[in-house]
Amino acid sequence: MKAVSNPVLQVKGLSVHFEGFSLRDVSFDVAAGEYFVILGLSGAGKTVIMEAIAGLIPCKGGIIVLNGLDITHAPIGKRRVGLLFQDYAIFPHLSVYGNIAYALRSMGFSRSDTGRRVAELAEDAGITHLLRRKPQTLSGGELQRVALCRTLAHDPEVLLLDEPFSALDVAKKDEFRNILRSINKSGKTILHITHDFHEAISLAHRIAVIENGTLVQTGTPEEIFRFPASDFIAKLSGVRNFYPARSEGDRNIKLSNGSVLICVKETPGAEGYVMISPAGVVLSEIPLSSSMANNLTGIIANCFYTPNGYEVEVDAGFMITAIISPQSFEKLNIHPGKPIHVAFKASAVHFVPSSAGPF
Amino acid sequence: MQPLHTRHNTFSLLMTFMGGLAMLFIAAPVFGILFKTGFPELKEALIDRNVTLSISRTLAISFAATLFFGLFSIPLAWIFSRRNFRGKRLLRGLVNIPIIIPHSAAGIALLSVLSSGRTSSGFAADLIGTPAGIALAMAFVSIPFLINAAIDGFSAVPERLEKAALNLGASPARVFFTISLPLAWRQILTGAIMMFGRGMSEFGAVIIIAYHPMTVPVLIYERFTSFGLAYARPVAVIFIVISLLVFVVLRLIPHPDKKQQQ
Repeated sequence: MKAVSNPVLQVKGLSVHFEGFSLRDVSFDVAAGEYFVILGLSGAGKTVIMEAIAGLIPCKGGIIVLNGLDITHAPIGKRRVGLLFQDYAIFPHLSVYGNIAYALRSMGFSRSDTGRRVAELAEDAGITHLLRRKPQTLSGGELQRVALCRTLAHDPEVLLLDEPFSALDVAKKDEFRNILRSINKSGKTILHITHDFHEAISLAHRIAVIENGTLVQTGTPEEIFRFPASDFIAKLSGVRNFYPARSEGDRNIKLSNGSVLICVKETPGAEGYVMISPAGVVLSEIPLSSSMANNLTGIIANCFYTPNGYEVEVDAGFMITAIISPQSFEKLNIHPGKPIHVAFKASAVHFVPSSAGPF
Repeated sequence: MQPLHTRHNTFSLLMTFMGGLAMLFIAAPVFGILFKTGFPELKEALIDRNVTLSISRTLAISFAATLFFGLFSIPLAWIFSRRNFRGKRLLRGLVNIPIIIPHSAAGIALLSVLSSGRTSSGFAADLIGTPAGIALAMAFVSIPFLINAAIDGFSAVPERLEKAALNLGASPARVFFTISLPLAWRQILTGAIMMFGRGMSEFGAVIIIAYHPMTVPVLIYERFTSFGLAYARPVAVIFIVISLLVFVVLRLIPHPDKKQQQ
């Protein structure tokens, strides 16, 4: 694992045994201002990592360092990490104002300073009109914003987000994604856990993949999805053929080498990543006249057998992988160095907008 | 054809009849005594200084006992609901002992403890026959109501809310006073009113610790044994009405809003 130059949060060899679940030897660093996502299926131990960092559950081994301070066994209230609970954990007996002001009052802010800070936070989150309301009268999305403001109020060194999108509908997700991006852009370090790889790709500078209580891979989205080290990632459609890209409008996606791919859904003017399912990539010896919108030519760079079929890597200006059957492998006489036509449908090209980019 | 749900159900009728008898058994003596007692007798009792003094004394002592012991019961309940330790189940059971033992026995037990200190210090001996002694007797038999209700109250507060508050930098004491206590106050108040009500009605334990100064239950007993039923009844009626008022106050406490508990 590459060392991070100025880590805010360092987790080294963290082990936790909690209610029959164990986390073994988890290590990662999060740089100042970085958006770091831990990606894993439910039950993989994501929440346990969060709660151990926040001090909600005790660590059995390893150390957690925040800004050079060992906080492994520090009391919850002294840790300076802000946890956004998955169920928001809004205080039901306090108004929205009371919830957001809670941390400020704990820190001994004066009445007027508290009022000013709450007004600022509420303004940023677009919930000024809700300040006098009681939490029982709010929708899920509104509650989440209140929870976010409340957590940001005491200006934590790291913001911990526990599956923040799980309870939101599609439209709200986009809105909330933008809020998180702008918080991160303003300099806040974020550690976010999720089971949704789209979410990870669209927000993360770096991703750590967790399986059965251990981190199996840490890297940029490109590293994770082009060279997956875990079954969980490898089984996702679109891995291997994973490239930083820019949506050019008119359903054109431009890769960094200049190649232009055609996709179905238009997302104009956005940075992001493009994924092409290797099973949807067709190889042929002659140019195909078909409904497939993407037709390229290239040279076979590499091929090897896997239990799912032959994986054939073609250099078509960028490396693209196809998975073909042993029969096709024989028929096409696949070998490195052979020129080949590559085709795939526009619907096989999947674009995920992400403004995170390389960190 | 008749809709199914309006048909008479023999079983349901039988249950209603039997249940009605139980209800009558409870209500009849209470309302019977109210109707049997004439207004002049009541008036006479109400202007009797012994009676009014005894009533205010009883209420004041029970109120003070509830307040004083609440100061210790609430922390105990918090410990029971938030901490795990060896012997917790045993101690939790011990809390209910005053409810199940005969109250006269409770009074004797309390008296023995107080008397055993008689020689070494004057303090314990001073309590026998005093309002403080009465308060002890009332509290001893009624404190489980407050402790149990407070345990239920604290246990119903989601621990996540307390952890969220800690995460926001609040001290454990601040979390207790701003999160746990406000969210559990309904149950605590209910428990306190039950403790107050139970304490002021206590007879067995109180009469053993202090025949004088007289609380209302002792006064009723004294009038009954010395002068008979007719003389004791007006005081009984007055105190039943006061008890019913406490009961009404108890019912007025809003039920915990399910939605609010998340």
